[in-house]
Amino acid sequence: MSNALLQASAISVRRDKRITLQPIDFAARAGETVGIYGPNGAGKSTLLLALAGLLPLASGTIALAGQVLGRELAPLAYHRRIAAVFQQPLLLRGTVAHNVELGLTLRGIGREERRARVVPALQQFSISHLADRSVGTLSGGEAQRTSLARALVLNPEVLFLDEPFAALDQPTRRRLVQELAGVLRTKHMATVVVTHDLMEASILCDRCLILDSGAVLQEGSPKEVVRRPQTARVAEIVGSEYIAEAPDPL
Amino acid sequence: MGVGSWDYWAEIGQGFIDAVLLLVTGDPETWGIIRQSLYISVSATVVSMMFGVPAGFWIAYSRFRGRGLLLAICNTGFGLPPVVVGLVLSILLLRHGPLGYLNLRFTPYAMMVGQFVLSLPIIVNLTVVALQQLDPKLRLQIKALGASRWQTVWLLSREIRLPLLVAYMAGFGAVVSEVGASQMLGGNLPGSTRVLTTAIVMETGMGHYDRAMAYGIVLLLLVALVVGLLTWLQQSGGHK
Repeated sequence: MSNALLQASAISVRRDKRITLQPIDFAARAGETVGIYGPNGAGKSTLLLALAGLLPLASGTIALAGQVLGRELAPLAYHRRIAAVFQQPLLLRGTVAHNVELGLTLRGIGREERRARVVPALQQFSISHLADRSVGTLSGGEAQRTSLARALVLNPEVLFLDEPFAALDQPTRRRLVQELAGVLRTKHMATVVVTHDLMEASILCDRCLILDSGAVLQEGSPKEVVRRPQTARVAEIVGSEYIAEAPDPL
Repeated sequence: MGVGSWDYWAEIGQGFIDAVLLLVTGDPETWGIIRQSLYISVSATVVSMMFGVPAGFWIAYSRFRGRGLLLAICNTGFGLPPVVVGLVLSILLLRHGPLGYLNLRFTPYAMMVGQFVLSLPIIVNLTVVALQQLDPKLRLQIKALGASRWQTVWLLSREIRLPLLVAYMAGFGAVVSEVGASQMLGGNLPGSTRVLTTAIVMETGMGHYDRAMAYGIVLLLLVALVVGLLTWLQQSGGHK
């Protein structure tokens, strides 16, 4: 993909001397949301962590806007252009406002600008009234909203989401997915989402990768991978009715 | 004088009253020893924290050959006999020993070195345990927020500040009440290396129970203070 913002070429990851991610090519354009879908142990989170520069690569390269991580782009500079939200909110001690402005503080941004950016971020996720609350008193949904606000306040070029709603109850989850989809439409960043939920993928993602045993089995729009699984294994993973069917000629 | 005789208890009671008087009247010798004790033990544990906390981070987050052995050594350090530490350091600090040129023997600094060796494994170990109890993804989250290496260490240290304080208190509690290493390395010289524990041993030997009890009361108060502070911190810890 020539106009990709995030481009990974033949990246693989080895853990405990075992290949957990086979050489994978990955690309995401600005404004595009790419989903990573697969069964437990498929390597989804490993791929996301590798793309986010949070796991050492056994091979391959990652480039952001053409700059190769580790060559033209130092890891710290890379991490200051991305943001990540995990399954658990992973908030740090302090108030909601303190957490939301943390990334800005780490970048040395002054108090005035921090405040100017934090206030709308809190509003965006409907947590303005919680700004001075200690994070220890938040509900799961409130904590994950804080985590999302903390990531998006940074205006990242690439946003990584690792099953950010998996720990939430269904109603909260449905509401947050819809809200996030709305927010993502207004941002011009690339987003990579690991998900276990095809419905969630269909709402959030433009494109989906089906991953199994550390390898990409199929790539396409969420609708396409469900309607036209290219192999029986993909059909099994996406729970498609078309398991035995040949790929759609169209 | 029998164990249960009136004279015996009267003497003990008088000793206790004298001990309290020595403390409340600000007896210079008693308070000098208390100050020296605190100076040596606080300094030793502060230096132990300066080395032990970074070492704990390194052991917790690095994967290298011998890591398990290093942790086992630190675990052994929990039960390190102070007299053995005193003996080994005394040999090293002998005039013709490998560290003899430092001329530290029978100085407060030799005692600090001994107490540093005794408290370091405690602090390293408790730091490692505290870091291992954090969500492993927290470090990745902090990194993904754009934190530099030192910012990461700072933020994680804030997350484990209560366990770090516990580590400091545990280290301090262990060294302020040990006598073996202090006696061997310091020599119990008045005004220099005489600390609460060595003074208690000496005064008891000389039959000065009032002074020995005064020092004992202070030691007990220090331990009570440490335990009380720990309990209060544990109760008020939380996500503040």
